Amino acid sequence: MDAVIRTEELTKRFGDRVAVDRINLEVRPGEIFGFLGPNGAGKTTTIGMLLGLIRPTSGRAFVLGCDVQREAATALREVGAMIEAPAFYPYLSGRDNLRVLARAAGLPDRRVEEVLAQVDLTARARDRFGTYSQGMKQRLGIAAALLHEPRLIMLDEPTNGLDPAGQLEIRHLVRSLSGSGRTVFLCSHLLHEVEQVCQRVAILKQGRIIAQGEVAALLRRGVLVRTIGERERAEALLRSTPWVSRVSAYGDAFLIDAPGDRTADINALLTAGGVPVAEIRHYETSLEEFFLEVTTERERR
Amino acid sequence: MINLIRAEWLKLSRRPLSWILLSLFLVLLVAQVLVQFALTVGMPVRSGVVSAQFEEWRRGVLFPGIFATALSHVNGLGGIFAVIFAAGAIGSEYSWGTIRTHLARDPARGRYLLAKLATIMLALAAATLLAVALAALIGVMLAPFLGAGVSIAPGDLANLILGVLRALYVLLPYVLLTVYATLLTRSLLGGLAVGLSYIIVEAGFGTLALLRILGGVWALAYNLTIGQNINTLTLMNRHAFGLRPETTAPLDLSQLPSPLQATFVVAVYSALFLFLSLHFFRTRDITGPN
Repeated sequence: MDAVIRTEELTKRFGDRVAVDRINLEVRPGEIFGFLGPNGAGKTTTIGMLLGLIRPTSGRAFVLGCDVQREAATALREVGAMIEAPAFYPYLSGRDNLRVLARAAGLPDRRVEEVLAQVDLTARARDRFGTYSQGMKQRLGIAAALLHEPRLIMLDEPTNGLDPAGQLEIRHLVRSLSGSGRTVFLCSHLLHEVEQVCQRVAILKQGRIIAQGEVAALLRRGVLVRTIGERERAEALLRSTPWVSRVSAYGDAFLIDAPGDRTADINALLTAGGVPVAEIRHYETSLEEFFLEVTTERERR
Repeated sequence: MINLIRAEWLKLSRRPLSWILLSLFLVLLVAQVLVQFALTVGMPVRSGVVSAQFEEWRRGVLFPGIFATALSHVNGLGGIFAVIFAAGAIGSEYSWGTIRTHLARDPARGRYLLAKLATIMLALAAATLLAVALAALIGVMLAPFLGAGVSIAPGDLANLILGVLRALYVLLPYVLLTVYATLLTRSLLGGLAVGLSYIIVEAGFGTLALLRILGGVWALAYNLTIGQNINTLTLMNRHAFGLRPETTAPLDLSQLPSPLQATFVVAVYSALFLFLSLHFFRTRDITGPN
């Protein structure tokens, strides 16, 4: 199946500063793809290039199979986007702001009412945008992105400035969008948010992708084994066990790939081998821990 | 394109700045006409230039001269309002970040800018027509006080159509310069500063008109300014409705560019600013709000 977004060595320099450095992305149809990175990592610049707002210094970007540089109009026809803070006319009502966009796209006003209802803003649609709370502004931004029923939706920090309830609401909305067959490209620096809704992620740091793949595959799962001394003997014992497929040092402990119901066997194995055991438990890293791990690894190198 | 113009019209017509500018523009027109009326009503007998000036003001309050007064207002103070309006229409898109919202949906930047320009000119045309209508209304009300009737010849109506088009044509280079400066600086204030500064500098340059006496490059440079060429066009509007400003001001008609040159020079300036605006807008990155 063709990628919805694909980049080839996409690069953007602003003077001497490299904002985005030879990134290769692939986003598949129907997935919620997380684009992660700290503030200033180059996420918004990448979105800008994907939307034809910023010209790449080199490399190429394809959206829905079209080269953004050469066929921007075709590429973006079925893309809805909210970039950073939702940007609207403060003196217009939420409804009129959407009507401006609908008129420009030749869409009927009926569509405005539909998206207002979809993001639960109908009751406040007559109020000026300038009077909206941050959560309402974000919802209006998403409504604008949905207006022309796009196949691909790019959301840049959609939960910025929202309280936990607002964040939850946006997460539900993102899931429902994906459920209706759309692809969602979710840009965020909030790792737990991405972990909760995304199937695959790319992690960007200082303009470079340092990890990309399925969330489940990137996160480390296994059995954590902590011994009291005797590390070498413990490692040798674990490695010689046929149902342990991988043993790796994890701080002062080991993280091993083993069936979850073998913790008692591991304990028995180590105790019989003369290794005192301090702790054995199931373990799963969070995306946050993974992020810190890969970014600090890179810094060490 | 029509869809984009409809969208732009919705934005501009709902914007408080548009209505504030229009109100101020019309109030100042009314004030100008009333001052002219007050000065001419019960006018004592005067002689020479003073008398000619008062007579010119009187003609400017009566038909068809009132049309020339309205059109002069459009090309005088109206120019300043047009610059503010154009800078606001483009510059706010940058400061609010709404330009990204639009261009992320429709990347045809040239079409977007042309739709914006068309809408700005449409709004200026509407303001000009309103000014003419308001001036005509006041003219009808004031005519009996000056012992004059209200008579408009078919020729005046034809002149009025031409006059309105000429007045808008005169505004065009200033609007386009402002648009270019706003795009260049990505800011309302930047566009405003350049647009208004140009008007002020050109007015100042006008006082240096004596440099024409030096001839050669000086005379040529002076003759190619926007201001000098629009003087010809605005004077045509006054003459069309029976006003004779040369009888009251030190205006040497022989020194003015010909209507053909004036039309051509204004077209060249407008085309240059339009080309620069389009080129700049198409090639520049669109980043976040300033």
